[in-house]
Amino acid sequence: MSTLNVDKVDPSTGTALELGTSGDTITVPTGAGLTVVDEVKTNKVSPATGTAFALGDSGDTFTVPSGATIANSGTATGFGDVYVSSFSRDVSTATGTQAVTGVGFTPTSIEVFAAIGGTVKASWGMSDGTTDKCIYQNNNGGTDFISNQSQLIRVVTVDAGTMYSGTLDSFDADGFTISWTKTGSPTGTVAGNFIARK
Amino acid sequence: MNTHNIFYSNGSMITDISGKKTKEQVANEFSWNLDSIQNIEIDSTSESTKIVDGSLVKYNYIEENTQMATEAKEKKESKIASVKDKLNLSEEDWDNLKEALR
Repeated sequence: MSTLNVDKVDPSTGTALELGTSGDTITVPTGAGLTVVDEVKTNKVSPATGTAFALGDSGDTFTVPSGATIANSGTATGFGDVYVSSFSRDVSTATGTQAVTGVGFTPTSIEVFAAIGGTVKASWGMSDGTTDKCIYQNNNGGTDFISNQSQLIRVVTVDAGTMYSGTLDSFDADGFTISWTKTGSPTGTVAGNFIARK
Repeated sequence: MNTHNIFYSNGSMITDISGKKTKEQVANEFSWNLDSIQNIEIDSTSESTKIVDGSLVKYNYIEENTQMATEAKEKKESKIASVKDKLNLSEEDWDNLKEALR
């Protein structure tokens, strides 16, 4: 193998320069770096050996510009994801659990806005899987709101002796589970709109 | 229509918001006994489910909530009318009383 020592290679004419021919392999060996200051266009980037591939170093920032998307077609984790949907619950149902599934990922946090339609009974809550908090309407016909530090949902249908409350039981592979507690004999159906994130 | 699949077994409920899961999938995912699972499909924009005599049934919760709210309002108005009648209060008296108690 012969060695060509030059400081620069330019096109012989015009501005196009071609390196090698179809089927060739061009190797930049271990210890040698390749710096491209401007744009690199390629259809695929793969690991040089094995299956691991690192992008950049700690502290680097990669920006996906406006209008561009990254499609996660596999099972890769670490991508942010979000899902908005709803569920409902008859609040006369006995204490028990309700799993919400079909979200498409394991959430790391949820927010639930819940209300019994046609009434002032409403609750706005959130959970990160460890801590539940909500703001709820104090009582039927009342005008005040109260901050709760331990529940995701709290719907007071008459007073503290007649209500339906929920805490986050778990984040699951495809959604989450709420643990409901019935106090007294509440009536109505609470509809919960939620946003789940990971 | 926004289809949700509701599954119920032994006091626990599952709401499948994808509307695509089967009993078999749910039994596998949540380790439920397949034979014990009840399943019903709902339009989540207006329908919900409840347990009646151990069976999962669907109903229009918008209509039911509206009916409950109407009944509560009528009950409240009836009580107000009864109080006004007993105390012989005019509308103005009643408004003054409400304001004073606020």
